[in-house]
Amino acid sequence: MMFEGLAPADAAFRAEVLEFLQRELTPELIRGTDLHESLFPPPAIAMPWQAKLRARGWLAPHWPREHGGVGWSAMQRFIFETEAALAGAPALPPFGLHYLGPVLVRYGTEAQKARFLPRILDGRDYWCQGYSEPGAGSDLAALQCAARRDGDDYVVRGTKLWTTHAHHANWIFLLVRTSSEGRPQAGISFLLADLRAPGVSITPIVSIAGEHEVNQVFFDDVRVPVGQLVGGEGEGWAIARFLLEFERGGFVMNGMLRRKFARIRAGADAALANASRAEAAALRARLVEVEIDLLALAAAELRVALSFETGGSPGPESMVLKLEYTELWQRIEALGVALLGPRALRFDPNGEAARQVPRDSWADDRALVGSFLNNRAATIYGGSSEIQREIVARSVAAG
Amino acid sequence: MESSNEELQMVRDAAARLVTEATANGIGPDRDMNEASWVAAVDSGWAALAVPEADGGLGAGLATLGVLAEELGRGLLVGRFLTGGLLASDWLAAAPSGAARTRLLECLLVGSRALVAADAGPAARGAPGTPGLRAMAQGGGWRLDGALVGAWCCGSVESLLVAAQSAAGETLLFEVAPDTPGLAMRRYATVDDGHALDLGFSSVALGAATLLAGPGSGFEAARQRAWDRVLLAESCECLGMMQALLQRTAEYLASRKQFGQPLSKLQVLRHRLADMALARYRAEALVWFALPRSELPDATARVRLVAAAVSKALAGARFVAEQAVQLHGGMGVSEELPIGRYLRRVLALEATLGTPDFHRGRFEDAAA
Repeated sequence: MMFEGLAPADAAFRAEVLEFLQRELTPELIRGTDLHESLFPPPAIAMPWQAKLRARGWLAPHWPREHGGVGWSAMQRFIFETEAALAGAPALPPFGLHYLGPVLVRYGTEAQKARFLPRILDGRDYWCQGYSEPGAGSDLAALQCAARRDGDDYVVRGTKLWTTHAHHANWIFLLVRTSSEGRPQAGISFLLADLRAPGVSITPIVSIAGEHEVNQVFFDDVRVPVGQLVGGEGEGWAIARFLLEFERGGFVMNGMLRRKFARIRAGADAALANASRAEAAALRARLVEVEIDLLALAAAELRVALSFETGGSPGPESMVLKLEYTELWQRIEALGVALLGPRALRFDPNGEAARQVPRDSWADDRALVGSFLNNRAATIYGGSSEIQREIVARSVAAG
Repeated sequence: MESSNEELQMVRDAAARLVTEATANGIGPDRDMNEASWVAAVDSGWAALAVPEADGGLGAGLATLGVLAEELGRGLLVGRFLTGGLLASDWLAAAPSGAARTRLLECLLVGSRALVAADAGPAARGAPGTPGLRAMAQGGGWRLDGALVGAWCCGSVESLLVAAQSAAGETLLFEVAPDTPGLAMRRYATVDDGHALDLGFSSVALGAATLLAGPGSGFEAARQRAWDRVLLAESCECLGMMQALLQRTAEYLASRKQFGQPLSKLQVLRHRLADMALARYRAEALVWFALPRSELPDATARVRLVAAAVSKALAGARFVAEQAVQLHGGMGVSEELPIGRYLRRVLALEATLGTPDFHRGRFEDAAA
């Protein structure tokens, strides 16, 4: 339904994409996608797929061509990302490709672009994002991690929290306070730091799904060369806002969510066979509502995709999409867990027990429960749903 | 015919102007434009919009009709000529050519609002439902029995277009004069300040010339497609209503002071406003996705898309209208403000088109 009536050139592109997915997406990759719990698959799953896309010339569709991007139209990108996720392709690590890349293209020096962009594409660098702190969550401008200028270096002291995949990463981009004068936003700068530098330490945080995905990163007088400052001193807030628009809205999520829904829907009739009339009716009504909302999300994403050009920024509409897809995601998995019934009881955070039982649905069940728990975070990270509602309300008031 | 964005913007601007003027000039019967404004609308080509070009109309696509419906919704001009008129003109356009067809289309083209199209029986829970009339061949003509309910009408009724099911299970289209013997017509006020008709047919004998679309004409498919277009146009009306309610509510929250501060300082109220905006956003994305795809040849995909869009638009409009009443406090439940009238319009739409649950059911059933 999504792609009926495409222009001939787009239809041909879609056929090319489907053929590529058919050929390159191995059962192992698809299984990896379906069985991990988080928005971000670990590098062991994502990086082989990134390498295949790079070989095909299809990595970084939203980067300009001169920096190794694909230069697709917004429609092509929407088609690719929708079909790839629907077919079970892993999501790529977003921190370098999706977040830092566009920031460097827009704000980086030529030297920074030349040094960092190629290493994001070929996977030599794995980035993580240092934004939140113990005292700065939704109120990001309250951040205290400080960078003091000392000769040709900044000396960074402080800590970053909820740092996804810091334990997989070798680099971090982070917001630091370079001044405490004026408005809190005015004293923030955007730094690139090597995680192997002396004074950096990383400690794991275990989530309610029982998994290690996020971390706390400590900076104990870590020296960062001034050449690793992006933009000017005090420009960090503007860069963060630019990046947040990508974090919140640059994604095309309908394919991934439709795949999750289809897997849950496929088992629904069997699960409902023994339900009472009232329970079956209630669950079926929820299934239909979710399916329609998925169509609405896809339509909204298509509209956003068409509204911005390659290299541009998704704009404030992206705030709504982040809200939409995260709340919808939670509804889908809550429905999936409800359909599981007693099968939702087992807890197996890293899937070790599930791996002992081949050809059992256990692995799928535990991934669903794990994902349900893990993704309670989805409406909190990257701008909580309550913060997003503030932004939406403000835009209504402004007319 | 599809229009460019520039053309659509011109239609939108012109419609917004006309709606503003019409509202200022006073509302006519049935919360439609009064006669003077309607003449201006007809001069702007509104009456000819939906009629095919081959029949002297403009053959507008849903993108254009949708923009118009959205503006009417914003101004709460219930505008039965658009939806009732769209149904009538699409039904007539699908009928085989003939003198009666030509005469009736010409009525529409000159701006008559007195043609009423009806097909829903008392058992229908939404549109399109099963026709409520049975047609039997009798002598050289036909005999109609059964009942039709909730047919939109505006002002006087000059002619009825009714769909009836034949003994062979085919859907036929007839023209019926209001004074035909055996026809009982009950006109009543509707919850949205308009009027509707219930029609009782008791052995109503009709001549052969009243048959507009007969056996083998494939009218059933045309009837369904016409409803698809009406459902999407009404979805656009819902978008316009939601937009107006959001603006009014945001302004009210910013200006009304309680506890020594504007209500908009209260986060719980701001977030309610955000939820209203989100309901509209979701509906708008889906409706504007469905409009250009409503001519898809694949009937299953088409029905699912229309059902999804209209369920989202009606549910969104219901939520937004209820919350607008709530956030306006006492003023929201008083006739001093038009807020409650929007809610009443949504109720009328649900009663005639079907509730969001009805359309979710269609969405699900079409896939089976």
